Amino acid sequence: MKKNYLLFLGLLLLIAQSAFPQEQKYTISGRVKDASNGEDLIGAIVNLSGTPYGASSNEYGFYSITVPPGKYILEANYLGYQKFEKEITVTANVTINIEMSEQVLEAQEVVITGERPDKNIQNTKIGVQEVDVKQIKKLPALFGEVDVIKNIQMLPGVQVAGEGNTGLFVRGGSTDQNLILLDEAPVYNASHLLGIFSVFNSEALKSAELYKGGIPAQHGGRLSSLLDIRTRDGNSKKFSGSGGIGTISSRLTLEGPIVKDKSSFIISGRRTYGDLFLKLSSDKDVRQTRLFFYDLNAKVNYTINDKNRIYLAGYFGRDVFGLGKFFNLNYGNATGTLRWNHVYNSKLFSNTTLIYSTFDYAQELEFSSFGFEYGTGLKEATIKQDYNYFLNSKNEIGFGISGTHRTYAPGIFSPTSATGLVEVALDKFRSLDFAAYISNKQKISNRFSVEYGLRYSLFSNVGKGDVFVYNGERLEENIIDTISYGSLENIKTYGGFEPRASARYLLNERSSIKASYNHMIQYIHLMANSTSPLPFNVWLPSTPHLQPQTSDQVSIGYFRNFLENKIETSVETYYKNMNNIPDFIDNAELLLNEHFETEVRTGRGWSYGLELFVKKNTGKTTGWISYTWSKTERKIPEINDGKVYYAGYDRRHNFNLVVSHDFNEKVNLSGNWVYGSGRPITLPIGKYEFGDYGNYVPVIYPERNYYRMQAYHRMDIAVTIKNKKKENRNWDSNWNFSIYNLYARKNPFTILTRDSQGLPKKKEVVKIYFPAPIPSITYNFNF
Amino acid sequence: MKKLFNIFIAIATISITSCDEVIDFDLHEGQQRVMVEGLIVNDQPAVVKLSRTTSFYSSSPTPKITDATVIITDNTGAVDTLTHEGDGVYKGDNIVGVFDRTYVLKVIDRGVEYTSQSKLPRINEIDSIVYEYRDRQGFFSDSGYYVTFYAKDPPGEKNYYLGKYYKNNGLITQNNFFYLYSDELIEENTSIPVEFETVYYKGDVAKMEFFSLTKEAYDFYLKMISNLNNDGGFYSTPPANVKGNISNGALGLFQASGMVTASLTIQ
Repeated sequence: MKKNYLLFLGLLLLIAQSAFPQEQKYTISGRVKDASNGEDLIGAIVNLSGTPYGASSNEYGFYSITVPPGKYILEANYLGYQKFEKEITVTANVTINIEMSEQVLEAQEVVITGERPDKNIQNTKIGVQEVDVKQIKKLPALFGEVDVIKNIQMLPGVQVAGEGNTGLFVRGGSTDQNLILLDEAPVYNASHLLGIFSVFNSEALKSAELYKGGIPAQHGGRLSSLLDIRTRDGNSKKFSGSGGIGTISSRLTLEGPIVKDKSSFIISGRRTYGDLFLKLSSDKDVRQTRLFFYDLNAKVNYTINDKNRIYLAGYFGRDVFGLGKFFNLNYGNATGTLRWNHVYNSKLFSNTTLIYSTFDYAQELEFSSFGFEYGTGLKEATIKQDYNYFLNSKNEIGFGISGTHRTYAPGIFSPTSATGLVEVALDKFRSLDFAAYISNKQKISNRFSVEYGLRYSLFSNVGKGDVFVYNGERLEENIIDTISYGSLENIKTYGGFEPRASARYLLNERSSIKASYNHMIQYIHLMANSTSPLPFNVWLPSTPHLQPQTSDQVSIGYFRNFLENKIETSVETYYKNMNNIPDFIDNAELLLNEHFETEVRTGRGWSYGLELFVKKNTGKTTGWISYTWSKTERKIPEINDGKVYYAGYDRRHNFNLVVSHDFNEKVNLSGNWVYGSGRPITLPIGKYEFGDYGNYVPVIYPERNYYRMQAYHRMDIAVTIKNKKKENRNWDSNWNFSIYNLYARKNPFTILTRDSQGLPKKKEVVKIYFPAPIPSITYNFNF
Repeated sequence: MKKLFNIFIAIATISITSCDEVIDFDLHEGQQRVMVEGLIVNDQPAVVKLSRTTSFYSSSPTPKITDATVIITDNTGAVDTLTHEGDGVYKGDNIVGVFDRTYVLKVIDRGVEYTSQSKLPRINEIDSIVYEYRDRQGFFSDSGYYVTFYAKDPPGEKNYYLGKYYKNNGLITQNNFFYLYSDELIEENTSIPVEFETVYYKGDVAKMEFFSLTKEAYDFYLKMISNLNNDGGFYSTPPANVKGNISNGALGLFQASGMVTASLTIQ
């Protein structure tokens, strides 16, 4: 079987190589860069004026256009940059590296030459949202911490769990169904401080793109979204720095050339310092409390020659929390990516990537009577080979393979003091992934473009490990046997084809309709039982008992631009069906459980919705409005008595308004208003008494997620004021004043029930919320 | 274990969110159900409490069932009909708990029969009981006297326990918690220290009762803790009902336990 699949893939590659007749044509290729700092520009539109020939630059700024010989005007457009134009005569293959300059805001009126980019109409992307990482720095932020994830939460199709939480719920998917890539390395726990902040330091970022659908065949492994975050390469022209001093954290970024125009570095760090103030406390216990997190991004790149470039990027972040010597915990991610770009010829671009990613959690408790250490973690190593083959002006083929090895440590408990406790080390799980894909972006006619691809993924849960055999339902008491597997012995293999397709039909210059279909397979599962995952929740591979999750999504969209592309609008609808999605039985025990499968049940989930989006990218006033109507339900045998229930993050209506206005070169005012109808919650329908004096009052719950919370809404504002730049001083700075939850809406973080304070045996419903409004001040600088 | 993570969650929740507000949430009222709380321990007759569930917002005690038929039988064929002693409490007389026997509880209320059964698990006598003075340990415990008893866990099958601690005859029930122990992380046949879950001062009388539990009863208490301390499922597990061992839709637990007690006065 496996051989047949591979043969089929090989065949596809062959067809792609030979199917198209070769005429006499030449190729223009090169890289698109920012003129001021040498950063590659991703997704710049390069075309030959007045012809149908064009391309967009790939993730490394590389573009390639194949045309008949002749005289052309080469044009490049990129949002926020001045249009690039150059007359060229093509008589042979030619390399043209394009450097683009940022638009300068003139004092009077913004002068923009040429046409606005209308790539949202032109490209085949549907369900894809780009985040302007420069723009978000002006927007209001909780505690002044600019957070790309919080901005993504204001985009259509993305749901939020609770106040301040960074979990992403994309088109009915849960938080563990998002593939979050930082320089191509997956990040397994993208949050700090129990989900209040994300691990992405905005200062280090170059781009962030969210794929809610239309996920290219190159990527796989999660059902619901791909969040592709890339860090900057570092200024290759001159040494510079930037940073900020904020309410709860400070940041510093240094970057510069190592060899001018050939090699550059960037290093960017952030650390919170709230706990430093605790040292001032008169209470010894408070002084000994530690509570902070930090992030460090570092990257170097080296352009060996026109054809070869290497990048080495790393991320390290940790959360640390400690109460004296008695209680300590720390957890974090580390990722590393080594990439080699190689241009075989003007048509074939290759990227070889080595990826390492790890997440670990460690907790220590040390009392005089007993003590222990507890730890969990996950490690991944991946090797990936991707090719872009710019076959001709009508076809751009991508293909590649990847292999991944993962080790999952579901829990180790080791006593540290002699109290008769025993060590419990759950067996590690191991898995091997293999994937191969081929895709093609094809211009069928001027109006009709398609992008289609096929991915084949193969996953093996390998030894060493034990597999339990159950007689009947997966319950602990039904375990009748254990099968042991040796090191690297195959325990269970899953695999499947993942077809992807999207199409665009241009109605006219201003509008297009698009459609897409995605089949996704997810082989790893987060054992998280709560709405907001916790850092000690572990990832586990598919096993003989836990099958891979799959999803099918179809979506259709209408895209229309107004006022010469100043305003982009879109309407998209989707339907997504998910199979084998996990949920947990009541009171599931997920800690140090050697038979996790007894706590998990799998079933079907589905989601559908309508997303409206209006965006203004240019001019003094920018921003967007989004509205989402959606519904997400699940039906899992043995959960909620097998009855359909709403997912915990199901919200019917979501509305977001984001506006940013430049009054002049110095002052920017921005604000946002978000609204989400209430999410489901399980609250009681009764109570009873238990215990010696009836002094315990437990409650009776109806079905899961039977009630709904009140609607969520909030307004934030921010003002950014640039300081006057002193002559002859290369120091630029600004102040950002931000207020989160301006009108102090008491949005529930969660709603719970508890014993009424003072009155015995009486219960009450309590809303937990953030104190508001939350003001913050940040001083930002560049040099 | 679970408790230690609950500490973590509690601290985290407190450190992040400092505001709460009692709200008037429109809650529906479910069907009234029977609550059974039965206990038989070694060398003592059975005690069964019967009550009904009530609406969430009710401020009066739950209604007690005073006219039910309550019968205990054991696997030797003995039968004991319990008598109502007031306020929904029924007591037996001719059957007393014996290790390893299986007991069946039958309750008939308004013509509906509810049954349950449980084996009475063994318990070892304790080896010793001591106390010592200890300084404050961070946010976790105050300066004062701490009492510890030592006992051996019987080898072989898995064993589960519930501890109840008293200070001057008052039961310690802080934070809606039950002090549960399992031997899953414990060395067998070694004298294990178990600390009383509160601090004592000079002159206090410290007393404990230690019960052996079946796995079913242990799980019941765990679920009860989760039910009593749920945060709405944001960080904790989704809110869930406490599944007991009574048939026919009644709530509650019929618990057969071995019990040991010990006490001392801090001097």
